[in-house]
Amino acid sequence: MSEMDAYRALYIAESRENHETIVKNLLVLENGPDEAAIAEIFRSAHSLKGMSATMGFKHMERVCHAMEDVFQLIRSGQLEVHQDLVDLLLAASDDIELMLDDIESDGPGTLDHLEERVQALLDWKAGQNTTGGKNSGSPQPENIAGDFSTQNVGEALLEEEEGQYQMLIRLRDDCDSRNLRGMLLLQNLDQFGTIIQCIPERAIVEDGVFDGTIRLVIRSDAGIDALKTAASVSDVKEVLFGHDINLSAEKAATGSTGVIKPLTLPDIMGAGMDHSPGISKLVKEERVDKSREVKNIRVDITRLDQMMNLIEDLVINRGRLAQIARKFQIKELDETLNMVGRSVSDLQNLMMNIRMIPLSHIFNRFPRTVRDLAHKEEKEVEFTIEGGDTELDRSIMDGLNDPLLHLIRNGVDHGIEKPEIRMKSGKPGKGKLNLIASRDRDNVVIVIEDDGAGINREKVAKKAIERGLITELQAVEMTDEAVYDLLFLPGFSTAEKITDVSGRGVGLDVVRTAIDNLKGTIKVESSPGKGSRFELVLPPTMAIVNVIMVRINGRRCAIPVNNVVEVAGLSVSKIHHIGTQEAIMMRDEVIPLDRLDDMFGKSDQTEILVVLQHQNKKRTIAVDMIEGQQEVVIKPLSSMIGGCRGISGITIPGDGEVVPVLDVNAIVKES
Amino acid sequence: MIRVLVVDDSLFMRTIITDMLRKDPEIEVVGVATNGEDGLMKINELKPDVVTLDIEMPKMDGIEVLKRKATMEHQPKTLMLSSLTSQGALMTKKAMAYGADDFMLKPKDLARTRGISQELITKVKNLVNIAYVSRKTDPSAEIANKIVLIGSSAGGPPMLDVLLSSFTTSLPAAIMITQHMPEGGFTAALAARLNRLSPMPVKETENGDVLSSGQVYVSMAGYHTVISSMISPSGVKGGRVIHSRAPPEHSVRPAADKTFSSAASAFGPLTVSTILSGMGSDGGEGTLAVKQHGGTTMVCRESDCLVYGMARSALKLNCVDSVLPLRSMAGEITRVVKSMGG
Repeated sequence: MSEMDAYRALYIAESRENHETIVKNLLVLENGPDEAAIAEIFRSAHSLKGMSATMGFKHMERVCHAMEDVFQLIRSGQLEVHQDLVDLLLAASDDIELMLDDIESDGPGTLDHLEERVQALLDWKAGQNTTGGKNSGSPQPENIAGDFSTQNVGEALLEEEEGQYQMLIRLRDDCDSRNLRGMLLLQNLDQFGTIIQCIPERAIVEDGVFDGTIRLVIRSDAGIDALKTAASVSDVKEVLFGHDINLSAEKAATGSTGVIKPLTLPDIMGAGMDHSPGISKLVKEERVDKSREVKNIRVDITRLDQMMNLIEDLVINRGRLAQIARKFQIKELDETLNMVGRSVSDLQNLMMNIRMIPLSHIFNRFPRTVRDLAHKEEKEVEFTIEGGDTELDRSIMDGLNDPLLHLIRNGVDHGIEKPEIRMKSGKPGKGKLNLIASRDRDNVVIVIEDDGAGINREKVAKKAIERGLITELQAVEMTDEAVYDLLFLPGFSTAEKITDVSGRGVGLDVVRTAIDNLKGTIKVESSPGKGSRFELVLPPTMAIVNVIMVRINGRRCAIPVNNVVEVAGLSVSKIHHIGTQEAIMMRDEVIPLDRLDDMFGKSDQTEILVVLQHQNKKRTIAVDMIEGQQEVVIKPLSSMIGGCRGISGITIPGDGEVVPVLDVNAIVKES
Repeated sequence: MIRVLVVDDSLFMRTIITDMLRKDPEIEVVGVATNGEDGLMKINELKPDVVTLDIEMPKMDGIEVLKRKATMEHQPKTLMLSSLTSQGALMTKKAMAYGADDFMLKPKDLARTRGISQELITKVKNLVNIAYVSRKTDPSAEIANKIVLIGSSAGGPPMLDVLLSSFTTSLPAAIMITQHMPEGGFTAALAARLNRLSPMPVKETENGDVLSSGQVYVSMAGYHTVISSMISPSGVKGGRVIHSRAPPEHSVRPAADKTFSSAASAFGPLTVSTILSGMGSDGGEGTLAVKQHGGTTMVCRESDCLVYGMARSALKLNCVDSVLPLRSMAGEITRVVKSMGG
């Protein structure tokens, strides 16, 4: 990878972070002014602009620069955050994302509607300037605009035509060489422009036969300050411009000096530094919010995956070595291997931790989604996120975004009602949607709850009957839980009209499948009129799983502990037969019993029952014996073998044997 | 070995700056810090010789770092890395006032701009190698009757460091520097920097300044500095600075051509012009004007310059009296100025 490529990758990673910060804080601003958010957007836009300039992405730089300018105004309190402005800024941040996408795929990072967007942003900046929030009439240096142009504002007022000035120059009464001074100042002025008209004429000035007052019209591009200085030679009493001339001529007559004090640049700059609140704030600002700080390095995820694989191999080989040591009874080797074992498992834990990323990584995008959706659906939604710092393995995170997004959309689309409907049922017009993540022992629990209408049991049942999923009789007998569970069946959608939001022909079944793939579970609760609650339980990591090693028909097999509810002795007498199905009675609960004969061959020595659970369903399987519990690395089946029903992968414990891992989800579902 | 600490909140910037510095075997990047607080801690801990400092940072910005650093035991030299905006300029000016030793604009369009790392390296080395002048010659109130013009652009600032610090005494002439920079305050910051190195006082030009002998001026960016001849009330002839807002020339403002040409007509043969590193073709016409008015013209030799566009534009017009190594320019300017009549 060349240096530039490396910089580009770095640029993209950091820019994405900045982009996210901008979006996140814009949404904060929508709820009212927030200084920290403003400061953070300003800094992010500033960084983005700087990096883009360094990389030479000009379009990006310009959009970010315009955003920075707007925020400079907001920061100094001269521009109020307005809904339209937030919309525009969000649109601009979408542009930023588009450009970043383009840059990431090696494009030039250009934007088709660049000019339009930049102009729109600048219009806000300019519009606010002229209507002037704080500066009350008196001309102030332009630095208010954040653009510290040194141009004197007065210049614009006095310029009668473009670059044409009327001047009146008065020499001191006691000046003894009017001709010399007059000549010199005219010569000086010649340096800066063309004198179109001069009263008295030059020849008369050069002869010194005039009253010490020169009126002239000059065309010049040098600016009023230059002309004033050029004309202010020794013995000049005053230099006046444009429409001030008449006024001051009278003043002069009454003896008052009426000189416009030259406004020098340091005056202007000094004024800016003292009075502009934006600037003093910039220095004083102390950052307190520590959670906003980013302290990390970026490593390409594929490298972490490679490392993980190597560690897994190390684990396997250490197991092998341990067996060799045992076989040949080499005590020293055994001891050393114990030490190695500890290091390896530390390394493994560390690696797991490194792969963990906070859920905020995907959560951060949701507020925007909720906002846009709520706008579109004309609903009011207060969206809160909790537990964004809960960590999950990156591989799980990848698969989680879409199902979560779907559930959140569902919440806004189907859950929360329109304000008027909510008011009628005595609820506040603004609905609540909460996304809460937490750690529960080894699992990560994510809850999405709303205070909307809840799930209508009758509607669901009716639809299920229509679809032939259940009979009417079943519908009456089913528990609420079972009815809600129907929502997860393929092709089920209760939305009366198909919106372009969540009812896109895909239903919650897709969500369930996705969660299944992550070895997680999903559960729904609802109370009519009060809202619904979806609960996702996920393993924090997929790569390393705690399993129970069992033998069936003498063959080894691993069962994830997550799915094991209970282990019990099997006494033949307790087996009941319900049709062709065997079942056992356990604490007043009838649990179907499966013998995995088709997978492992018929076993005569089954003595132990392992009760499995997936979602709300339980099954039990009969095994010969339990060898123990251990943490293993589950490797997917090679693509050559393809999918294998009932087996989710293989693992290689210390002795090097290849052991299948039971896919409990499939077994529970199948039977 | 020069030990450098890089302080910047952006990983991207830290990486680029670190990579640039590592290109020089005499520089060692001993650490990086991600914000001001971290920076101060690492200054204490690592005791670097030079700190490159970003301005906008979370937790504690660069200005605050400068303020706090002032009371610390270990005092590394500081190089501010400024963003190329008016706001950045203002902050840079402020930073120089709070004791920053030098500043540099953050690199722009890395892929197409060569020599940025060389400039950064030279700046870092200059910080350590060039001694600060504690005693200054008094600015003489005397109206200058001779003028030395210096024109430079990209790669110029570190050369100005060397040139101005190698004058041993006050020069009986006004020195006018035209350094291309974005407007807003960068030239004021540059003047503040040079003022610490040069035995002669250095200031940014102000509209209406009467040029005095032994004073160095840095043309304020955003204006063309036009030198206009003047006669004092007591009859002494000299020159005055007039800031013109005329459109940029060669897309720069200040343009050396404007200053050189106007100075040449005001000071005639008592003018010396020099061109250092710089991109573009500004300075050529001005040098020609100096030559035509009987002044002395010099340019720096190519091997000392990062970019040779400006000097080459003068050389092409066949109006250059001598091409000199940077190290001997101060001596030669002094010799020529002293040999002039007037």
